[in-house]
Amino acid sequence: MAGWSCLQLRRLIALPRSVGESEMASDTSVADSSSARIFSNPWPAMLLGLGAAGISVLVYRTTGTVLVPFLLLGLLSAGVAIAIRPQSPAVLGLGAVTGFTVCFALLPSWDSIRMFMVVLSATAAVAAVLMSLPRTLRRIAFSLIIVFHLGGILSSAFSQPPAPALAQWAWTYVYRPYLEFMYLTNAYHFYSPEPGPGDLVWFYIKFEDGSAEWFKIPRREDNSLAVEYQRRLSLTQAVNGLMAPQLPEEVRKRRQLAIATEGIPGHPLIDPVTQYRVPSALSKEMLRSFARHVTYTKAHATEPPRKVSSVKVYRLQHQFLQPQELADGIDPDSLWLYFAYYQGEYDTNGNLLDPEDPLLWWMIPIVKTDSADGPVVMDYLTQHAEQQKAPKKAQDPINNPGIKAIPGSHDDKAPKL
Amino acid sequence: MTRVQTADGLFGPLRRAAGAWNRFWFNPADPTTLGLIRICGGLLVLYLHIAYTYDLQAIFGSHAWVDTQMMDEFRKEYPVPAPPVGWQNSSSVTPPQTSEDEHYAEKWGINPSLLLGKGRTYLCSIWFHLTDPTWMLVVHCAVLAIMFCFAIGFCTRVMAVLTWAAMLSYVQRGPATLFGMDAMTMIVILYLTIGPSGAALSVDRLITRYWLARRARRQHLPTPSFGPPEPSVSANVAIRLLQIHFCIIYFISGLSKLQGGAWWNGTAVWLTMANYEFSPMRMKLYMDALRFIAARRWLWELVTTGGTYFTLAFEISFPFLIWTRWGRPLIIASAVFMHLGIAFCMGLVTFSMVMLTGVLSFVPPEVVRGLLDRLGQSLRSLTRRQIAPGPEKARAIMMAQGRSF
Repeated sequence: MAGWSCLQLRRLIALPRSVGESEMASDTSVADSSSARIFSNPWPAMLLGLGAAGISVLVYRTTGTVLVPFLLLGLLSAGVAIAIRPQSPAVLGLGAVTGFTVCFALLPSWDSIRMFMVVLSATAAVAAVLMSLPRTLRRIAFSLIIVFHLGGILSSAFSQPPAPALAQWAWTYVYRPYLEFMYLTNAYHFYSPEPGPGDLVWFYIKFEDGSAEWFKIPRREDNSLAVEYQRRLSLTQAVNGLMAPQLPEEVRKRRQLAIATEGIPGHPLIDPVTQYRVPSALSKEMLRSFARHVTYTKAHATEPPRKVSSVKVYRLQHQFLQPQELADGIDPDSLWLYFAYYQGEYDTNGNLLDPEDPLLWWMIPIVKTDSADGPVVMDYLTQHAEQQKAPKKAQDPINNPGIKAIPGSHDDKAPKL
Repeated sequence: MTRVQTADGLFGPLRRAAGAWNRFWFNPADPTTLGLIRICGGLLVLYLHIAYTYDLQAIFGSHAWVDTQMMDEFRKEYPVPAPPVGWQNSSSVTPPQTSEDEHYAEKWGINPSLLLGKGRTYLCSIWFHLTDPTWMLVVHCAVLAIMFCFAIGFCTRVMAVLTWAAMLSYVQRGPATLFGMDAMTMIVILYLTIGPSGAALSVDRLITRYWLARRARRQHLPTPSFGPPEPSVSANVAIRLLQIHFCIIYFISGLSKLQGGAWWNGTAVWLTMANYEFSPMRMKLYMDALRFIAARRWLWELVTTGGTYFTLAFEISFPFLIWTRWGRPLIIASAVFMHLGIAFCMGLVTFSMVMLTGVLSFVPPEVVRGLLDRLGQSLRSLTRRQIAPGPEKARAIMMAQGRSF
C-alpha cells in the first residue's frame, strides 16, 4: 500500500512537459477501438430538427399557437446531430439555422428565451466558420477567443471597488453582455476585506383579525438541508446593501423626539451615525419584494387563507464574541448581541406605510443593563414590533458573570442621540 | 551573421512562445480527468437542484422572495452606470428632465443621464416566463433527469449543454439566493460542456464498447481491444481553462483579503470560526473546543493567526506553485485541508466540494486511472473473497457435508 502510494505520488510530481498532457498524447490519434461511434450519420437528426422547427414556425405564424413539443424536438434533434459530428461546418451551420428558425416561433413575451436561442445559434454559426478554417488559422482564432474570455474573467475580478478605471471601462463597455449572460460576474473577493457578522431578517406579521406572529430567517431548524439554510443566509445579504453612513440633522432631531413619543432610546454604546443606516436602492426594492412574499406566504399558509394587514421588517446583525468573552462563558446566541435595524412597515403590496416614521432605518436597541435582580436584557425590538409601552425584560443567563453590565439606556443618564 | 540567423534571432522568441502556447493549449490530452470532474460536478449539481425542489415556489415562483414584479424591475430598470471616460465635473451632469426621470432618480438613487443603460437585459431564464406551479414542477423534474444523465455520462454531449442551460435558468432567476458555490458550479459545468466530458468514465463509453464488441461477435471478428480513451485537443482546452480559471479565483481571493485588517492581524479565521450563523456553534463538541482554544491565549493566537496566514499563503501562492513538480502535491493537499476546514467550521460543504472538484483538474489522468484501477482491483478481490471461501473454510464446509477432498 505504501509502495503504491509512493508510485502515485511520483506520478503526481513527475509532470509531463506540460500539465494535462498524457503519456500517450501526440498529434496522431491513438488507436482505441472505443473511440469509434455508434452513430456516425448526423443528417437524419438534423433534417428532423429543421423540419420540426420549420413546422413550429409555420403553425405559429398562421395560428398564433406555440408548438412547444415541436420546438423542443427541433432543438434536441439539431443538438444530437451536432453531437454526432461536432466538427462538421455544415452540421454546425444547419444547427445555427435551426436555432434561428426557432426564434420566429416564440411568443414576443419570451424575450429571454429568444435571446438565449440567438446566442446559442450565433455560437454554432461562429463554430461553423471556425471549423472551415485551416488548422493554424483555427488555432489562432480559438486563441483569441480564449484570451477574450480570460480577459473578461479578469475584468470582473478587478472591477470590484476600489477598481481601476480601465477595469471598469472593460467590464462596462466591452464585457458586460457576455459576462452577465454567462453568469461569470463574480469578482471572487471571498470574505474580503474581512469576514462579516451573520445577517438575519425578522418579520413581524400582523393579521386583520388582530393576531400577529414572528417569522425569522435564517433558522436552521426550518431547513432540513444545509444548502437551503445557506440560501436563506444569502437572502439576508440581499437587503444588506447600505448607503454610506450619514445622519442629516433633521433625521437626528426626529429620532431624538421619538425617544419620548415612542419610548425607544438609542443604543448607549454605538455612535448615532452608525445607528442610522439607509439601505441602497436595490435593497429597498428587495425589502418590498420580501414583504410581498412573506405576507402572501403567511396568508396562504392556512385554509382558508388569513388576511394579512401589514408586516414590520427588521434587519439584524449578529455580533461576534471576542475570545475572552467566549472563554468566560457568554452564550454566543445572547439576544443583546443582535443589532436590529427597523426597515419599515409594509402592506401586502410591498408599499412602505409610513416613509416619515422617525424610527425608519434606525437601530432598535437590545441592551444589557443592571437591575436590582442582576443583569437584565432590555428588548426594545419586541416593544417596537408589538407596540408595547415598555421594553421586554429578560434575565440574562448567569453564564456570563464576568462582564460588566452596559450602563442603563432607559434612564436620563443615557448618552443623547 | 547570415540573414537566416538574423531572422531567427528576431523571431526566435516569438516562435518559441507560440510553440509553448500551442503545446499548452492544443496538445491532445487524455479526457479521464475530465470524466472524473464530470462525475463529481454532475452529482453535486444534481444534489443542488434536488434541494431546489423544496424551494421551487419560494425562489422561482411568481410570489417568490424576489417575485415577478421585482425581477421585472431588475431586468428592465436596474441602473447600469456609465463610468466616465473623460474628466468630468458635476456641472456637466444634466438634471432629470422629465417627471419619469425624476421618479426613476428618486427610486433608484441615480440620475438617468449618468446611465449606460437600464436593466439587466442579458439575463435569461425559463422561470421568467413559466410560473404555473404544476408546469414548473414538471420542467424541474425533467431538469433533474437531464442532470442525472449528465452525471453518469449518458448522451453526454447533449446533456452537458442542457445542464448548463438549465443551471443558467436557475441562477438568473434566483439572484438573491446565490452564493459563491453557484458561481463555481457554473464555471465547472461550462468547461465540462466545452470538453468531451463523456469520453471517459461514462455510460456512453460503456455503451460504445458493448456495441462494438457485439458487432464484432456478429461479424465473427476478434473482439476489439479497449485501451484508455483517445486524447483530444478539446479535452486539453477544457482542462486548461478550468486550471487557469481556478488559478485566477484563488489568486484574486487571496489578494483581495489583503485589504482587510483582520487578515493582517491574524484574527480573520476567528471571525469565521465564531460566526454563529455559519459555524456549528450549536454543537456542544465544537463549542467546547472553541472555548478551550479561547481560554488559552497562546493556543488561540496559534490557531487563528496560523489559519489566517495559511489561507493567505495558500491562495496567493496557488497560481505559482501549482505548476511546479514539488509544489503541486503540496498545494493540492493544502486545498483539501483548507476546504475541509471551511466545510466543517463554516458549514459550506457543497462549496468546498465544488472547489475541490475544480482542483481535480490539476490531477494528471494517469493518476486518476491508477487510482481507479486500484479501486477496481480492491473491489474485485473483495468480491472474490465473498464468493469463494478460503481453503480452511472450504474444508470445514466439505467436512460438514460429509465429503472428502
